[in-house]
Amino acid sequence: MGAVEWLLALITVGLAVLAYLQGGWALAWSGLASGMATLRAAALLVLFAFAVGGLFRVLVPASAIKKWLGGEAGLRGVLLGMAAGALTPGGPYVFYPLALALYRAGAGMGTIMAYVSAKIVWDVARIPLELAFLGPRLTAIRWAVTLFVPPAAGLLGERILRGYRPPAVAGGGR
Amino acid sequence: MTAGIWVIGAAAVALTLTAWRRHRGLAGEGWLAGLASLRQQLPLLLLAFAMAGYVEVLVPRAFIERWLGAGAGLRGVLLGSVAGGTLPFGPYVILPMAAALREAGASSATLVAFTSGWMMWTTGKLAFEFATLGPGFSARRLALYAVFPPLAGLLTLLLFGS
Repeated sequence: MGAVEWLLALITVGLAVLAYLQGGWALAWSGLASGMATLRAAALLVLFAFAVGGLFRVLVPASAIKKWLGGEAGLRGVLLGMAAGALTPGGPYVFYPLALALYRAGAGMGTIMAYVSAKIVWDVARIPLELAFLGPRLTAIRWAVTLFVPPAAGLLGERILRGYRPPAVAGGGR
Repeated sequence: MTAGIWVIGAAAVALTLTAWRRHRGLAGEGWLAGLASLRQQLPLLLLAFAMAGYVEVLVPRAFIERWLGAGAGLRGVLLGSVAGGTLPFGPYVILPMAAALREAGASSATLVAFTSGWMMWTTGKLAFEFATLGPGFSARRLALYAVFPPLAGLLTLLLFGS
């Protein structure tokens, strides 16, 4: 197990102990059951997300990814990353594996930051929900005042993540 | 989730067909690459799901709603950002909560800060970010994102009133 696995395991055990202290075995069990219920519901999505990542890697040549989304792609990479992020459906168990697949295929960290940022801020699939619960006016305001975030984060991300390699791929190659 | 699975499923089918048409073995190669990546990430994903489940049962929801409904102006913006940013729920919990907060009298600026904090600080998604892009990515992204939700609330306050 690597450092990230240990860290996550430690936090999970800590939360389980906290749940036990607050509500005994019943709450400790209900937390685990709640997580596993989400996993069961999302299992097929997770499988498809990884398959899409793998197929993407064999279909699109690394040189094309490097040219369009790589570290030297600059603004173009950020723009494409944002478009892809805004249009990706599904939860974190879908888009984070896809972000990792993009990195493995040769995308630059600015592009990855732009992709993640557009998914969390400009999520197109979330618009109907936002409209339903917040109403058109508040939804429009929310979009207007956060519109700048993905491009800003993508361009700044290019700088603050220079040289960063995700631990999942740090062992060698991408 | 239902709509998402159709879109991702359709993308997987379309890419499989494209790969298969390009060259017979390529589709299998793509699926194998994906499955190998899944196998590698699986322990982390399992931990991430367990962690998300625990956080969900541990946070006192009613308390947050009472506490936030009372905030207004700059105080509401800051409270909204922090509350939204630390609540680890999905959109089906947070957006109805925002609607309830509006009914309880929360201002537009507070609500924008609340929803922005939730979507940008992504407490409920952090376990997945850790597991894939790594804690180093999360730390840098959060440092960069620290100012965005309060800024969104402030912009709402300045441009659209409360």
